[in-house]
Amino acid sequence: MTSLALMLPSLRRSHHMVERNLVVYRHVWMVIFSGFFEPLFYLLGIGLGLGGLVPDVGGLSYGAFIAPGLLAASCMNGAITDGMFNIYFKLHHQKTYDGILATPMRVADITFGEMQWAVVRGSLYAAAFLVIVWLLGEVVGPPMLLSPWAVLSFPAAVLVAATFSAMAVCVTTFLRKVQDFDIVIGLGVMPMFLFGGTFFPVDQLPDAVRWVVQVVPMYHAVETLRPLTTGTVDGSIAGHVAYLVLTGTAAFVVAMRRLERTLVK
Amino acid sequence: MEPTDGPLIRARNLTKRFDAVAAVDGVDFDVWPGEAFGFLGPNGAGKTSTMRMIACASPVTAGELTVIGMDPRTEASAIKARLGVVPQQDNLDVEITVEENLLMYARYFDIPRNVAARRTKELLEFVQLGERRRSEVEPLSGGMKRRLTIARALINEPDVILLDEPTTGLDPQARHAIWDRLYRLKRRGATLLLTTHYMDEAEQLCDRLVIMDKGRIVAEGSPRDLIARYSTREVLELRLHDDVRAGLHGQLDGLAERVQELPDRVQLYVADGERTLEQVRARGVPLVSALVRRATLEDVFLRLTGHTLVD
Repeated sequence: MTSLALMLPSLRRSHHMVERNLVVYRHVWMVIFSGFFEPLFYLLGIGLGLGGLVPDVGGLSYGAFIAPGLLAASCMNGAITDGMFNIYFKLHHQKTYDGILATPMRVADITFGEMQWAVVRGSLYAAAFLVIVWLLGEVVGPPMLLSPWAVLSFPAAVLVAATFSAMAVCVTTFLRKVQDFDIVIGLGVMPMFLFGGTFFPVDQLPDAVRWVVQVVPMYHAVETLRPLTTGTVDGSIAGHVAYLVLTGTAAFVVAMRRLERTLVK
Repeated sequence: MEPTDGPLIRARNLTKRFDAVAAVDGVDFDVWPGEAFGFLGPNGAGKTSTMRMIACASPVTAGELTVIGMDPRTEASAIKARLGVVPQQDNLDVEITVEENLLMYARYFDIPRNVAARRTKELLEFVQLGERRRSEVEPLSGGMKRRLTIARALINEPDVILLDEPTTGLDPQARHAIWDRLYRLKRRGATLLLTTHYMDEAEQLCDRLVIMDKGRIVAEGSPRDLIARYSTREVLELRLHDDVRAGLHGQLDGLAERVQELPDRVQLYVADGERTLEQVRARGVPLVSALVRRATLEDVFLRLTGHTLVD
């Protein structure tokens, strides 16, 4: 059977996928921006607009409370756009990967490269979001990025983007028709965005629901980013980071194996 | 590693099963350097499955397969580095331009950028797409896309070029343009491996071919050998009214080496078609039309399998 060495992706070859995506986006660079505006509008509309009417949450202004959640959503948007929609079409409609697999590239290299690209895109959104929050400053914006922990916000956001990317690619390997996206977005991504600790603390939820929320990646992403961006770090962050690393790795391995079965048969 | 004097591709009892169905059912063949080798057979004969195993795109179920001296099970990347693949269904990268398709494909082979740029220019000229190099892929015609796919398959200067149904779905003019490019490759000494269900394509392009049916190889040889071995030189095709045909009662007996009844015609395998036609007329058989032609690989296939290549 296939040995481990044959399954492991090559960094050099995986970079060819990143390069390919850069060439594609040279033609359609405008679309890169779309995923960035959604969380920004939420921050301005809900954080600053609605936030004026809402009391502080756990010692944070409402804007500061939801901003880390929106940062996580930025990472997720980039990951989902490239990790789900684009990969699905390349896999099932354009047959792009069949062409690439006729070269020395292997499924592992393609999966790893596509994931890296999704991470790059998610990280770009995260970086832009952090810059905006920082520029807004504590006068007009939420008081954030003031403690030394803030230095770790961006690396943490990259980790969040990586976990979401791996999960997005993994979920995509289970999709069989375009309509399946509606189910994933409507019943997976949206509830995760709304209830994952983004807009209110999860202890507001009934116990049974809270238990479900604490299993999804969004919750752990928010619980990692909120302490770092608002300077309220305690030991519990280690558990959330571990969750992101482990689920991301597991999702990547599953995605790679499933793509292998789909593409090489 | 280096192919010195042995075959470039060697298959022994090569088998591909999907669940219980054997798509390729124990085939043996050798492909030698510099030859154009064909797999001729109808859809579902196992040609594409064989091709995909050689291209390392499909795992071998059983049997032996060696490609350029290497084992697809363990050395897929090294084999793929030296193959050029033209798949049945175009899978060009439609999100980038014609030129970028070749440049990017060269990257997957780790070809240096300056070499890639030079080959891209030459290959686009070779497939007559130099003027479309900055075009998107989508608006290209089917024939142009296939030519671009051929150029893409040549970017790594492959030892063997695999072409799966290279002209299926193309109009006659586009087919001839593809054949013309493939002739040129042959003249340069390229090794071509192609599948087709068009007997004219096989006759024109292949030095040697195997005829496949239901996952098995039923005959092997050069087009001329196969025709000489399994057919007469000429074929007399007779079209008759249904009632005439029903009432023949042996009126065609003894005229031909073999008589093949097809839904729309009767084929008589003979050495001299015109003479046989005179004999048929002399026996007073009323004909709608008659045609004398040279025997083709289609006749070989019909003889060996009892059915036609294209329904």
